Amino acid sequence: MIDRVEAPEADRAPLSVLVVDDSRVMRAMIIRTLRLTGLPLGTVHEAGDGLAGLGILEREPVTLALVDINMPRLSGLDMLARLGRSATGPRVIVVSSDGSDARASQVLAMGHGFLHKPFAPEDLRDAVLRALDTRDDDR
Amino acid sequence: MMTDNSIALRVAATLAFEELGLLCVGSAVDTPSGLETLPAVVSVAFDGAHTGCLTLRVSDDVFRALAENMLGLDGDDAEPWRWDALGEMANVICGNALPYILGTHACLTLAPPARGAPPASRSASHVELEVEAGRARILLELAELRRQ
Repeated sequence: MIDRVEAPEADRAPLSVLVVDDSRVMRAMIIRTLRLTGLPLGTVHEAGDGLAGLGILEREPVTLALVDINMPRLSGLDMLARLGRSATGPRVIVVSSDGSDARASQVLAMGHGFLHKPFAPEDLRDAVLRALDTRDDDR
Repeated sequence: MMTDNSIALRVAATLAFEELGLLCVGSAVDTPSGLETLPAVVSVAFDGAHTGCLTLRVSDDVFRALAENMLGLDGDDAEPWRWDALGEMANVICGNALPYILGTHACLTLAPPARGAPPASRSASHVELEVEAGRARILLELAELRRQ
């Protein structure tokens, strides 16, 4: 359960997080779950589609982005294709209900993490820690 | 007797209601409820290698419990959130059921959930489940395989 959060996680610098999902319920659930994990949260931004997500990333420093796939205007995958991947950019976890191997492989090949809905709080925390560790490894 | 598609719907719905909605799911029921007892309805259309639509109908107690369990929301202010919660539930059921039914290599695009249901076709698969003291019915309409 999530009460086994250890000190090193709390010692991390506050995370600036962007949650991109067209479902405000899912955005609220992700943010609520992040707060429960004990990870140090700084500013939390929300966007309802990929286009709005890119807009926030242009204006705000973001450490971690949690991105849905199927969204109006601009999908999560199209958003990530436009964003690219760099050592200084946000670490990305794609959070999707799409249970196909094809989709997960596609996301992993882009260098991002993948978290399948529904997820338990500890799954989200572990995915975040893996993504942040990847960032540390890149440096 | 349940078909393979109905079993897939049952597995996916049970996962979603229990893990996302924090509601206990009981057995599948053989006698379908009247539509008037399942007033909250959302549907998720999908497209790609296959096209179709998943419809989720729930009883009022399940409709109310979802937003309350997922976000701690209750009362009149929670009404818009209830529809969002039901839509997300349909989205998750659809995303989890389709790989069982169509194979794990099929890439599909799911449309945002919409209130209401499309006209049902005779070829639809369905399952109705006990969810706590209420009911949920899931119906999947699948069009012919698209030519690639």
